[in-house]
Amino acid sequence: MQGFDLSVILANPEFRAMLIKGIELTFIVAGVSWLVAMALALVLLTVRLTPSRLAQRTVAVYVSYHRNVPTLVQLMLWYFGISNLLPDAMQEWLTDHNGEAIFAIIALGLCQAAYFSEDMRSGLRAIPTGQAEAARALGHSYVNSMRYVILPQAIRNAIPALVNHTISLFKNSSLAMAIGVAELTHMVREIESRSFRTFEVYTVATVLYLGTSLVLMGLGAMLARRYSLAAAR
Amino acid sequence: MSYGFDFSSVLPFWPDLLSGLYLTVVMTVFATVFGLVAGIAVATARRSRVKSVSLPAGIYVETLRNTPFIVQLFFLYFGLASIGIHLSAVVISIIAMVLNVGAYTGEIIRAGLDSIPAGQLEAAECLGLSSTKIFFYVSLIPAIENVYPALTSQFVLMMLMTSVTSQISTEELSGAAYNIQSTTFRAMEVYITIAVIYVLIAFALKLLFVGLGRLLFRRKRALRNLSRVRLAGTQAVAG
Repeated sequence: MQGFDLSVILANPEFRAMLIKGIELTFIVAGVSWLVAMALALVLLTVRLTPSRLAQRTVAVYVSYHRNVPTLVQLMLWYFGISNLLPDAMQEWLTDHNGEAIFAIIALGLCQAAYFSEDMRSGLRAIPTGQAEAARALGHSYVNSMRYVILPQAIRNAIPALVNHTISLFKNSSLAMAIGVAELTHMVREIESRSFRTFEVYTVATVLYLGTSLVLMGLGAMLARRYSLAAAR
Repeated sequence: MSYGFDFSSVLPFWPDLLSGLYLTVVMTVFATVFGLVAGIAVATARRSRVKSVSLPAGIYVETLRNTPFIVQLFFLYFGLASIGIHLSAVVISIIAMVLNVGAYTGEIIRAGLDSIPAGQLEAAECLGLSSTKIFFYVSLIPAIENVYPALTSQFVLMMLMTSVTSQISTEELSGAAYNIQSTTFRAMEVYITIAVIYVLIAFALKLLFVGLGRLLFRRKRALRNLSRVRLAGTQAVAG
């Protein structure tokens, strides 16, 4: 076995270009699916807070499905299964326009929305109902009591969980390689099969993922500090 | 939409799904048992006062928790192969799962150990319990009891993670499903079937953990019974 030498990977312009492309796609997949997840989570949360039992049940089933079925299976179901249900013209369009990445974004976004909505809901539930009642009794409108009393506290409660699940979404974006999205993990495997430098390639991948996760954690800590109580600082 | 659902085409493959299910369960059981042991070891190491023990444990935890499982799996699978160690994909998968879940459970158990008040440990010492007994009965078991829900949900997540090991060609449930859909082209039906199976395993696992918790943590049950007896006593007096 040759000695451990990172420069074999990093100094090779072809491999470097592949890595950069992979990182780009990882960020795009993770970022767009984060936006999808957040938007959908807000919808799910709102539906769950309505008094309709049926609506609440539906959201509960949605959450339960996405939390108890492996993310990989959800991806496969979208890519191999649901793609078959689409009209032919649309399937062709998707094949021409990086369909794997689009399906990965949909699957990851829908899956993570379940987690995000639960995080936000438990953040909200931690606020005693007396607070809302007090705010209303003081003459705040519903919107204002939400905006000035409930939400700032709820966000503070929910931030740690949301940050954790953002990181797991970022890590889960690596599963997209299973349906052929050329993101970082996919590129890393490609480089490995060309260079046979297993340890070097996977060390690079580990450092890249670890670094990004730590940055996300740092951002999360900053955000948490912004919303923290002045007294607790 | 012109897709006709046809679950009957999946039916002939049920032995494959069954053996996939079996492998998923076996991997989960092994990874749970060894993962718990690894977690206890990691938590103890991280709490150690010796820097050269706690620091590596900390680095291990942060690295494993902040990189994708699939990268860890490939690292182990192809890395070991490249230095001439050839283990079966299932064994490698179990090792990777134990390493991964050990980092997560390590942090959870550490939080549990931190929650044990120092006075309790001092009391145990004053009572003359041996240090092993203190560790097991005064520290570890109450700690696990405190974090039991978080711990068990981590193991459920780990069960879901077994599906990722299909990427190094273990024939567990997802791997079996992939093979079936590539011969039948009935992806929708196959994946819906295994999704249902996964949900069932997850629920069964949760139920099992709840039952196990009742069985293991007798102290909690005793305390609950005690308070019930007391309550009955006060009611009798009041009556």
